[in-house]
Amino acid sequence: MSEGLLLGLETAFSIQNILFVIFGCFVGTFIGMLPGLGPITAIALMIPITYGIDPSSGMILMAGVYYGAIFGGSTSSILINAPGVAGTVATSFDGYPMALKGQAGKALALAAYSSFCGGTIAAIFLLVAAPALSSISLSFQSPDYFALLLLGLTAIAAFSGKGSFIKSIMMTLFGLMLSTVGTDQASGIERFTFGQIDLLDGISFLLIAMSMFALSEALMSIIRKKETEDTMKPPTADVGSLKLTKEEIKEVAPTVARSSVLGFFVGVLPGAGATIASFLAYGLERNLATAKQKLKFGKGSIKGLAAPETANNAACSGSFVPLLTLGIPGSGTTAVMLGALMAYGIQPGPRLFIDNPAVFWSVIVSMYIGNIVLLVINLPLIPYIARALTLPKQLLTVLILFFSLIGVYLVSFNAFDIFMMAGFAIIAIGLRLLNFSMSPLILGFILGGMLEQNLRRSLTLYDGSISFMWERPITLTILILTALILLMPIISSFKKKNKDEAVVAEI
Amino acid sequence: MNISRDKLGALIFFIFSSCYGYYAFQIPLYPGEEYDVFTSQSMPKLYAISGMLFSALALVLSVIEDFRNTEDEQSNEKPFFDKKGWTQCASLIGLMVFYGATLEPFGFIPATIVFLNLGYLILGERRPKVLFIASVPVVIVFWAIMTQLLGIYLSTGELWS
Repeated sequence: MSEGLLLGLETAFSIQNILFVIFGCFVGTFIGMLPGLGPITAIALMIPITYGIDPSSGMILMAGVYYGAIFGGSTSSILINAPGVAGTVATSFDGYPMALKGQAGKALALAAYSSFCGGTIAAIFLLVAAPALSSISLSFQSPDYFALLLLGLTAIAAFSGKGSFIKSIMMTLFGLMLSTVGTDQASGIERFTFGQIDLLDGISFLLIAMSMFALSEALMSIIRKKETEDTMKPPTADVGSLKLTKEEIKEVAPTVARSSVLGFFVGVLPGAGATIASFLAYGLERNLATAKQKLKFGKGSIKGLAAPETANNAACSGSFVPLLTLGIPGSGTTAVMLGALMAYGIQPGPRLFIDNPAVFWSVIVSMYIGNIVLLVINLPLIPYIARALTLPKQLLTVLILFFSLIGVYLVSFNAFDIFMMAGFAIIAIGLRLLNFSMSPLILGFILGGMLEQNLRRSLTLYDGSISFMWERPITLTILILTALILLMPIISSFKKKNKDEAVVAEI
Repeated sequence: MNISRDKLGALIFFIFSSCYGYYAFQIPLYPGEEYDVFTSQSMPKLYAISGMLFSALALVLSVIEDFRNTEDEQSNEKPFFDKKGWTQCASLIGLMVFYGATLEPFGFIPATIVFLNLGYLILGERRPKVLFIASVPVVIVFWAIMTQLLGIYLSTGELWS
């Protein structure tokens, strides 16, 4: 482990990679700050750039963008009450009231310090948990992977949907269906190509990610223009003092410690991620608060701001655990990163730790550097970066469209991809209008190939029998977990129904 | 009957899954492969059936939900039509297709300058100075970074070469 860590330190601390982290954090903050554009879009826009550099640097850049985007989302939540990222919605509950009181600077500083602490504690956990989990998962075979992939797919559907489990499952299936387009890797048979040569290699992951996130989000911002314009107020360049008093630091310290641990473990769960972590941490702090403190929540409580901010950053680190050790993404964002890693020819999973230690360790180390960069460079620059929010939207939207289109074109040099992107953008807009979430789709698309491969292998190993599902204890355990996650929403909806009926009966 | 977004989504997905399923059965197999446990058709068939099942379930659940809710609650859904926004959105999608069609024949620089300017115009930007600054220098700098610095080829235009 120490050798790997040294290798990671060496790679992450090279001047080139430090510059990549700084650049990533800066760009991520900028994009994350724009309402409607989240870390997935920010990372998707970066992918074409990372194709030209080595995998370690690429992953470091993307990790920086991820952190930056979450931080940027907090900034727009605090300054204009328009969270750029779902994970920072809870930040606006108390951050925006603080800004209204003229304490925007303090709120931003508190958000940055909390994020830093959350990220730091989580990075330490990651340092310990990832190699340990990797060693365990080395004993995994195809049936276990098949079960794990199923778990990942159902978990993200259970957690990531906008309140609708079935809708998320449908989106996962849509992603899985899209993944079958092209030549079947095992048999060489064409599937769903309709005689189109451009589809023989399947649909590129980058094309799907860009169209479903960057393009559709930019286009949706035009349709929803009125809605956002009504709620958005122009930010002021003067954010006030960035200083925190000793008493305030003392008050939030336990909150930060609790939320870091909570955030990390929620982030590790496949599908949970920063949004759930931030809401849980906010809820936990409100429940633990005294009656007097409780009254402050929603009106500018520093605890109410520190909790979600710490938790969402800790969850970001946590979501890297399943990605790096099992090759299963814990969130939509890490799903996009998984796709990027696979495009490099690197297979994330337990072997990553052994085959590509530089990638594995440098990503972990760079997370910590990312946190320092956010604190040291981004925080003082926030008043200036915030001016990005005043950039004319009509210019920004068209530029995002251009970078998305050319980003995909530069990888394939095929104009057909641009037509496909336009088509997928239309589909994505339709899906968004019908309240479908995009994260399960991208996860299904990325994991589809692996799911098929592992099921095929498992069946071959067991002579065409599905007995591997109950003969292998690890597979069985994971499948039981999957079934529980699948049943969880149904059980909770029944519980809710019974509760409602009881309330009605009482009335 | 009032068609809510949930019902519409489920219905569209059901139709899509059915069509996908139809084509899944059309996937050719090698002779004798039909006796194999796992073929190229297996996963697509499984996805199609699951898609149809889940969308049918979603459809049924949303119908049940409609019976539970009063009419007032049902009509609470926000309308999602902002005519101007939609026209702009549709024009931009058309512009993307146009960009795809012109990029290789006309070359990166002219096609992109036209794309950016038309895009800004569609979204209401009319100031000539802003239109120029936000397109020509952006395209030239991008082209220079790509071709001169990173050595990436960008189409110079099939029509001119």
